Amino acid sequence: MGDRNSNLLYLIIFILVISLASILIHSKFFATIKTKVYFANSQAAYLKPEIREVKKDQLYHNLIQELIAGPQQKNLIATIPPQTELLGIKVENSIAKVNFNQALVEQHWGGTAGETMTVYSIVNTLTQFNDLDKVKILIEGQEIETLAGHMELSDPISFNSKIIKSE
Amino acid sequence: MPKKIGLITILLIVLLFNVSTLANANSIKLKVNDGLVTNDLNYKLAQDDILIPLHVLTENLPLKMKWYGSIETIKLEYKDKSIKFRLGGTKLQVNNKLLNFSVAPYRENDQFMVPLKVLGEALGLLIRSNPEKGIVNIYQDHARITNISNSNQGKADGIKISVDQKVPIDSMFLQNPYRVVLDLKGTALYKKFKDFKVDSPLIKEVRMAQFNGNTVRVVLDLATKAKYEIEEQATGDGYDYLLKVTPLITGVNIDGNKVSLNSTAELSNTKIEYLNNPTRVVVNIKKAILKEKKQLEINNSLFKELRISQYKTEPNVVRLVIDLKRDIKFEANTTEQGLVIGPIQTVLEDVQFKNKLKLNLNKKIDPKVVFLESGSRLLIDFPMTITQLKSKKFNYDSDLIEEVRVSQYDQTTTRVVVDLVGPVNHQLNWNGKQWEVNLFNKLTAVNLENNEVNTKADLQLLAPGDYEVSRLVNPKRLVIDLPNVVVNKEEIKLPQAKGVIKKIRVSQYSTNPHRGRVVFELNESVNTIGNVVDNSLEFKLTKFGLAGKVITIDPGHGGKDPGALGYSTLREKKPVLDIGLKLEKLLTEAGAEVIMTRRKDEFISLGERVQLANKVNSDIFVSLHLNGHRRSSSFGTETFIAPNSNQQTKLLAQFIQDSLVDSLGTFDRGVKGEELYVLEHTNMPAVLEEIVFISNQKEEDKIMEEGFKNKSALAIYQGIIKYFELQSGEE
Repeated sequence: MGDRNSNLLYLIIFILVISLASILIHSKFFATIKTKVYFANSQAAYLKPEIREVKKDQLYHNLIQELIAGPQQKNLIATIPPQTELLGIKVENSIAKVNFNQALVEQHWGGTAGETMTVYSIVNTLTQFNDLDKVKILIEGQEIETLAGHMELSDPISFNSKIIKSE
Repeated sequence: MPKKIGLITILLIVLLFNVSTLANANSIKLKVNDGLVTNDLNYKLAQDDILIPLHVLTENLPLKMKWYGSIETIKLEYKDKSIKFRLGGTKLQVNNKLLNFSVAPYRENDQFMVPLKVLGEALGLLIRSNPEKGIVNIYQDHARITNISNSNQGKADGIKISVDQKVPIDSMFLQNPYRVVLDLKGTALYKKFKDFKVDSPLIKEVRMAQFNGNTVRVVLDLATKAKYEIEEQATGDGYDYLLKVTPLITGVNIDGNKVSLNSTAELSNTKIEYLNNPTRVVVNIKKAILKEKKQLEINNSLFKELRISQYKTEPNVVRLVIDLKRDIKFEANTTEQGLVIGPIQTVLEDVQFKNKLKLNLNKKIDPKVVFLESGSRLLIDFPMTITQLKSKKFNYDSDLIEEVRVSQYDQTTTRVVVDLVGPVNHQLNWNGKQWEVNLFNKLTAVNLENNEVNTKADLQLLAPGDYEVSRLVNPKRLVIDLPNVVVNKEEIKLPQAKGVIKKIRVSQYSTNPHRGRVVFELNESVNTIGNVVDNSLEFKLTKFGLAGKVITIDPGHGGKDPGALGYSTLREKKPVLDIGLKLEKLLTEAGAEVIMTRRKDEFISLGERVQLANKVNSDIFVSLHLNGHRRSSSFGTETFIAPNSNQQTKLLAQFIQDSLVDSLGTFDRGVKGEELYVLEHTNMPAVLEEIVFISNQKEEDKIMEEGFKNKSALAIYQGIIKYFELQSGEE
């Protein structure tokens, strides 16, 4: 019996070791990727990318967190109010539904320039990879007509190359 | 008997001695190409020919000989010639032709004796003998003169020497008597051309002789000193050498108004000049010689006196001078006999009217044009011109011409009279074929009338005319262009400015083409209606309005949506409503129907705003906003339109953007295409104005001022006005 038990224990340990090793080897858990995170220039005329090394695990989530955290360069300006919380990201048919809390709307500074900077910084940052075509912004899980009274957000939005200025 | 025999023997000896001394006395030198071959030629004279040993020829000339012993026949080959003859026979075959020897060739001590003259000629050799000096010279390769003739066709007298091949010619001119000497080198004269008679008053005689064994000399005795030139022409079977001698003018004839010069050849090198005091025409004829100097009193309708002389000899120029009674122009025409000089005769062939009066002449002549104020009549006189027109009166469908008449004013002048409707300005222009008479309409007066409804401007013209109106918005100005119209500022008394017209200017905008211009500086924008009434252009100027236009003004945000956050406490929704209401007032005053999406602080969804504008079928949609950003750093004015907007929308946006930037002095962020809700869903040209950044400290301060809000509303109003003015201008 004791032998059988110890055999079972060995087997369990063996399986554990193997699966742990395979997690360590194959999972994205520790892997990172170089990405662009877009912020507004001081005139709110265009977006400029900052290069960030981001964990591959929960990549989109990480990118939004980087956006909320704001730029490292002094001449760039954050596009998302700091009180904003990311409630979740769901990808369906190459469309990312990004769910924020109410602060994104309530704490937003407004203006067409301000609104376009915010929306396209989120959209362009998330759609820089081939996996995503469009982004839809949700507030507290609900569809919104607009963020600050200018842009139409009821439809998902695609990558906007015109608003980017790399240098 | 023996004594007899002895005597005969002695006699024979003496005779033989005599014969031998005779032979010695007549020893002959033979030369080939002037080179001595032998001092003592073995020869025999017989029947007009001289027989010599054939080896003399074969050794000194490139002859090929073959001996056919069995038939005693000799074959000679030289150049392209092949010659056969038999000893003892009198026939010789030259290529395929048979010729005769006058004496048969024979054999003597292993030498073949052959008749040199006939054989030499058959071989194409030139044989020259000088019996007195005892020389026979054989020349190889000689050209032959085949003909000599007169060559008086065309531009010069002359003779033509035909040679069977190309030869070098030396020439010289000699005096006492005047003669031209030509030496044709390497040429032989086989024939004497006794039938040739020279036919030229300039060339008295032509002599031709074999100058030496190698040269033929041709001498032309001339009547006077002359230039000559030699021209070489290749013919099928040789070369012609044309010796041309300067033509000789032999006489002068006067036939009416024409002077003809008779010459031995055509006279073509002429130049005509005109001199004054006394009025005279000078005709210089180059490359010609005058036989006799002349001075003639004429005294006809054109000429007084004529003089002709040899003006120059190096080079030869003959000068004809005619003293004239009038200043008229001449032309020279070359004829076979020489030259005819006469007055230029122009013909008025036709009078046409195609947009303008056109006078067709066979050649250009400058008319004298006079305008007679009394009767408004244009006289166009063509000197030295006749007309062949059957009809003399012409009436055309022209506003400026009443009638055109053509007449032969006098023997040499054709007159065209153009009756005009008034003092019409004119300009004549030669188009290469005809004279075009450009007549210009004229602005004679400007009158203004003003009433409560409109201002009336009346432009008086000499005849009905066209016009083109263009309108400037800034400064407000109406420009009326009058094509083909003359404007003389001094002649026009301008009225006092009235009504919407602030100032009047008239000018000749351009003269090529003629274009008059009337400019009305305006107090305000106007609508214009133009009409042609008889000779005048009437314009009704009505204050420009927006009557019938529906404009939706959309002050952004409101109610629960405060819009952009100001640097301090201001919120976007308030000042945009203020500006919107001010704009509404301006537009309503201009006659527009204005739809406001909100007139108080209430929340209206984007969808509701768009529906409102679409429902009333608004002409334009203007959304009013203030911009915002997280920090104070952003500033300036920008206008948004939907991406891929039509041209109208782009214009509306640009006009408002420019007007705002100009009047507010803000930073121009430009017109941008962006997918904004109200722009995407409206059915009419729609713009979204972000007037300034409320988030910017300085710009927030400004937007709090009433004056800045007024300025903003006015600037947007002016942009809208400019847009609708352009729309109406294009209609």
